[in-house]
Order: sequence, then C-alpha cells, then structure tokens
Amino acid sequence: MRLVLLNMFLSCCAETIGYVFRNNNTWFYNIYIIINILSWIGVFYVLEQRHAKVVIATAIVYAMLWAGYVIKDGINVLANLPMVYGSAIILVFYFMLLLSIFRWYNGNIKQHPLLWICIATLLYYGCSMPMFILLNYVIRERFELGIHIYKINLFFSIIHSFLLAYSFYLARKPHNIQFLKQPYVRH
Amino acid sequence: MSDIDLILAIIIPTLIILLLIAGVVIVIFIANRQRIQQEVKMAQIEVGYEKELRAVESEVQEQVMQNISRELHDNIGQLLTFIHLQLERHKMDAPQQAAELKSIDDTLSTTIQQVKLLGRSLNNDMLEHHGLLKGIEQEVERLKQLKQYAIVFEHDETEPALNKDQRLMAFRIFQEIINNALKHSRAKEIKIDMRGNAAFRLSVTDNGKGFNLEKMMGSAGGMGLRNIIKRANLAGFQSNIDAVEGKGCTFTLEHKGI
Repeated sequence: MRLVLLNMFLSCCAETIGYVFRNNNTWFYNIYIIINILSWIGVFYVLEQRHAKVVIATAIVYAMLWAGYVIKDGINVLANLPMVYGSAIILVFYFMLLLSIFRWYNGNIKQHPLLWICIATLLYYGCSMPMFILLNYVIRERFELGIHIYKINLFFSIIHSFLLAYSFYLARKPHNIQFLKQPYVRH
Repeated sequence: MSDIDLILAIIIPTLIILLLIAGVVIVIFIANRQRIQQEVKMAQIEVGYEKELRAVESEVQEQVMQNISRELHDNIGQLLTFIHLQLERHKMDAPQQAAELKSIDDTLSTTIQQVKLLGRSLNNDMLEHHGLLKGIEQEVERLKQLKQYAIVFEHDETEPALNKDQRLMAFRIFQEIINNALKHSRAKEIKIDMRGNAAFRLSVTDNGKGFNLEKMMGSAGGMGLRNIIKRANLAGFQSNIDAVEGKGCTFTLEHKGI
C-alpha cells in the first residue's frame, strides 16, 4: 500500500512539474512515462512475489524499448508507443493479480483493497490505450480535437484516483489491516 | 480521416475494453459470492453434523450414566445394605464385639450414603423433577461429605429458565468442571455461584494451581476443556475460562437468551 501511495505522490508531482513547464513539457512526460510504468510494475512485483525473473526481465526490456524510442524520435516527441506497450504489460500483470486475489482470498472480495487497486489500474491503463495509440497523430494533425480527446484520459484518471482512495479506505478496516500485514497473495 | 472517424476510432475500442474489464469484474464478483454462499452452506452442514454428533454422544453418555446409577442403586446399594444388616445381626449376636464393629459400621454407613448420592448424581431424573439448583445443591452436598475440600455454594434461590436439555448440559458441564478442579488443580477451596433470576450464570472458582489457557487449549491436555466449550456452545451457552498460573481458575457459563 505504501508503494501505491508513493505512485500517487509521484503522479501529483509529475502533474505539478508538467504544469510548471507547460510551454514545453513533452521531455518531462517522456521521462515520467518510464518512471510511472516501472513503478506500477514494481507494485505488482511486491504484491505478487512470484515470477520474479519474468517481471524483472519485462521491466528491463521495457526500459530498453523506451530508451530506443526516445533515442530514435528524440526526447521532445511524446513516446506514445512505449506508453501503449507499458499499458499492455500492466494490463497483463494486474489481470494476473486480480485472478490471484480471486483464487486465494476466502472472504468477501469486494472488501479487499487490492481488488480495487487492480480494477483502478486496469481501467485507467486499459481504457487509455486506444487514446495513447492515436495521441501523437491527433496532436500533430488536429491539435484542438486532441485536447478534447485527452479528456478521456482525465476522466479515467479521476476514476483511477477515486478507486485508489476507496482501496485506502478499505485498507483502514481492522480485518484488512491484519490481512495486509501478511503476504498479499498466497501461493 | 474525419473528426468523427477519429473520435470513433478512439471511443469504440475504449468502450470495448471498458466492457471487457467490467465483465471480468462482474464475473469475479458473482463467482466470489457463490463461493461464499457455498462455504456458508458447508459450514452450516458441518455445524449441524457436529451438533447431531454431540447430541448422540450426550444421549449415549446419559444412557451409560443411567445404567451405572441403576446398578449402584439396585445392586451395589442392596449388597451394601445387606452387609449392613448382617453386621447389625452380628452385633446383636456378639454384643462384646459391638465396640470393634462400630468403626466398620460407620464406614459402611458413609459408603452407603456416598453410593446413594453418587447414584443420584449420575441419574438425571432428579434434574428433571427438581431442577438444576437442587441438582447442584445435592452435588455440593455429596462433595462436602468427602471432607477433602472447602466448598461454598452461593445462589439467588431461583431456578434458571432453561429447557430440559440445557439443564442437563449445564449440570454435566458443572460436574466435569468440578471433577477437573478436584483431579488436576489441587484446589482446596471451590466457590460455586449460580444466578437464575434475570439470566442464567454459573461460575466455578478454585484456588488451585491454575494454568496457561492459551498453552492448554493448544495442547492435547486441553481436549477436555475444548469439548466443554464446544458442548456449551452447542447448547446455546456462552462459556468463559479465566485462568492464571498459580492463581486458580474461574469457569463461567452463561445463558442470556431468557
């Protein structure tokens, strides 16, 4: 839960810094993309505690992919494809986590904070994927429309934050406090 | 590509992904609910089975106790009375030996009395006809006659409103607790307190060596205690054990649903 909180804090910082450099912040968002995706992979690694080699290898390959893309197109072009690949990786990992929770948790799953973290992450990264694919094209060809389309991302970002807040609310409940002290997912 | 095409190219896949995620989550919720229902059902079946098992166990135990009680009354009791009569006749036939025979006669009388009380304590007829309060009073009387322990019985002179099975279960649990206290705790004083006015509450406190409850419940030696608690729960009682090593133990049995 602390890692999730750290991720949320990083998001806030990124949005604030992005706003400060609002005239030219693409380079900053390109850096934030790799931090953001790797940190969510990190959260998954801590929660799942399984397939460690696969997770680390995925993170390394992803970092190389991102670096290659940034080197090829330059830091001032939004790295939308690494965003898409990152979202796809997160979708696969958090779907696995969702199934693990369902498999091993014996209580009422709706009261499990990790379930809501999974749903929040799946919704945000899953539903933003189509927009990420076309984002560069839209910004380049139809900038005004791109700004409107970007609101989809804002909408899912708000839902993401609400669901994460709800998961923190659930984590405060006594039975979850006890539960979260143990390994998150049993194997 | 027109604006509409572009918007649709983004919104339609987004909606499809959204629906897919929602579908997975709904399926997980439904499956989880069904699993919980199944688990509750299994737990209910298990509790029902255990209840039935305990009921049969109690029934068999009661039957054995009734048989022993009948044997004590009809057979051993009669034999002891016959010995007593023979002794009386012998005393009349040989008055010079009367003094020597007196101690034997006294021991025999005590034995007859003890056997009689033990027979009553094993028999539940008395409980059915006179109630739990009288039953415990008689049990206390029997224990007092052993002259090995100081036993105090306090009560509010009210017969608790328990049904026949609960009365019997409370009495048997009481006997087992007393038996445990006498057998294992090396207690010299036992205090029994029973209230039946507003709600039923029976507590047995001894000044014996006590024990570590957590350790005891986890060990094989705690099986008796675990059984007592289980039986108490199945009869609808709340039970509590307050034990401290070196400071004795208090067992409490309560029934608030009156």
